[in-house]
Amino acid sequence: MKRLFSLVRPNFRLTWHKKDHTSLAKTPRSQRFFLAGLAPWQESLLKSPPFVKMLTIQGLLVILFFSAAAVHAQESCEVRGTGDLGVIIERASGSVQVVDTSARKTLFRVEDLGDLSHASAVYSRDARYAYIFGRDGGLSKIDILCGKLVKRIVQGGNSIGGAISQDGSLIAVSNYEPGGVKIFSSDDLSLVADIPATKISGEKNSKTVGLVDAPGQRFVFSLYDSGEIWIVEMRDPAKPRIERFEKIGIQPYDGLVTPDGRHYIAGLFGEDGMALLDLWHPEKGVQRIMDHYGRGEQKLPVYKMPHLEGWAMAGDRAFLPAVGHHEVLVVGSNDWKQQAHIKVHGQPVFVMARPDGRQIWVNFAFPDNDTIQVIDSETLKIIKTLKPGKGVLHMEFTPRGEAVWMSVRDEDQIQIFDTQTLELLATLPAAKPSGIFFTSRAHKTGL
Amino acid sequence: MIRILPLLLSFISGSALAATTHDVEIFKFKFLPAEITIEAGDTIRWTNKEKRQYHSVWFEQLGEKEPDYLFPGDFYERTFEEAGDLPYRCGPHPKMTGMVHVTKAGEDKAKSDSIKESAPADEISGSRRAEILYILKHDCGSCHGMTLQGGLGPSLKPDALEKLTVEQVAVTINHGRPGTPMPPWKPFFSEQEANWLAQQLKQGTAETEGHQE
Repeated sequence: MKRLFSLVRPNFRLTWHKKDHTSLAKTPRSQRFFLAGLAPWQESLLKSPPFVKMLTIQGLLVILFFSAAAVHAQESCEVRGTGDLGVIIERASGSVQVVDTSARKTLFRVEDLGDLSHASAVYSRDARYAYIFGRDGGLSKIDILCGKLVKRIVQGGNSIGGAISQDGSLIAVSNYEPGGVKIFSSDDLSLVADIPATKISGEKNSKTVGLVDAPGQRFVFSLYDSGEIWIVEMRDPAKPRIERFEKIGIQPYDGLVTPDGRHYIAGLFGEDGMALLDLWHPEKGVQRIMDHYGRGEQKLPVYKMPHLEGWAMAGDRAFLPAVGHHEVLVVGSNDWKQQAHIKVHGQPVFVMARPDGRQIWVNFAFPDNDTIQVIDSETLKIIKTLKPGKGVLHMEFTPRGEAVWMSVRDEDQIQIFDTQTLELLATLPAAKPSGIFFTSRAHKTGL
Repeated sequence: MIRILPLLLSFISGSALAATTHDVEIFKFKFLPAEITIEAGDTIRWTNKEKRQYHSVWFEQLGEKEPDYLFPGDFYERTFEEAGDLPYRCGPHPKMTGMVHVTKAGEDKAKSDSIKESAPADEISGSRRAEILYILKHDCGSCHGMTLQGGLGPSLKPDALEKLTVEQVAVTINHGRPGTPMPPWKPFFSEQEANWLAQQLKQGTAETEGHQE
């Protein structure tokens, strides 16, 4: 684009009055082209010799033609693909960093995004826009090539993440207050559907958790207080079709969908076990899996709820955090039977598989959140215990898993580890970082 | 004691003659030294020796506004006219705390130490208070929200706690609420600390202090 300007400039310079020079210099760059093109033109056209008039008109046309380009150029947008970009939530300062995972550097910081504690993000299908779900009900659309907030709405009082539809046209947000799910156009964030959750007492609706997208333009989520799973089908945005599954278990706290989009699993806080829904056969209802996995054992206090984000899968085994037990559960993904449980350092929060499935990385709840453990998915042995620092809140693998980025809250740092050598590769400064979300999520169901 | 007395005396006479300037370095997210004892009238100069990281020196408990950041190489000077114990912290990094003990001019260090000892042993120090509020914001905050307006757990704002006494809130903090995800925090807080935290929550001061970051 810059090259084009140099072609344009000689034309309108002819009409550029010297006295305008100073005032133009003070004008914001974005407006200079318009002022330079229009104001002098009006004055000078009358006074100028005919050949200048010609050039002026030409210049003006060219300027108008490229004015849209001018707006873009002044934002200093990146001209590149987004495949190796990502965003990092800075929870306490209400900002996000846009990062380049190849160069391992920060490209932009986007601010004024409200309360970002527990914030998460999904990507538009073209992986240019990140949608950030804030705790305060804020939904922000960020252009990651320009490092710019495109639009921000406050859609609820208190929310807990969201999802993007299969076709990329809809954004669903899960709300605690008022309990329910709202669905927006991914384009302009206008409201498409409002789905209040089951009433539990007086004015209060159940909190909604574990919202994911599923094939068939569906969203699936769980209701924490009323113990339900709902499927919302949005093929006709004007007529959401809701299917309800009741009595799925006590206090579902989060949910996930398998990478093929077939199975939805809700973790239960109120009992040992998980609720499984086969989205190919919803008519079969919800099935209980891993019932009483902690049988006979004393339940330990949980100082932070585990997250069932993504699906830690290795071969035909899946790895899940236990609740109230310092264990990672290993379950067969064909029969959903528990195969093993691995004793770990504390209450697991995220249990994440390296993209090739060979390693499982685990972080922990307070007071053990200074530790990361790496499990070999074949031998089920812990092969490394790392101490990155206090407050390791989240991890994200690069698209093909040669490195993992983790946020270390109390160090105000992102640490990048080589997943082969398990050595620290680099660090990046970040203010109280929490969630890390790379654009490779754009094309994955459930992320 | 006799042997060190001359040393002490020379220290006192030296410092009594003229107010001195003491240096505190800020490096690797620490105030060095973190605790310093000075005489009234003395000045402390905090210098940021980090390579890139900015910090601030904030006497939050004096009710002051958060000061401007000190970028690497910047310094901040402050003269202390009155005796007392003044905890401070770094604005952006609440875990970075420090303490200034200001003794009356001419009062020796040994005496100030004995004053400290005679203070109730169970009093919660300034740095510990900051630590508790940090836990409140970031760890309690994972369920109750960083601004305490609620999440999976209920709101902890004063209006939400109106019907509960300080004792009830303190018992909930340290013993949890069976049947809900609220765990007992007893391993991390003494009874007194839970009481103090409950008080802050009821008054709404925990939220404002914990949120200024």
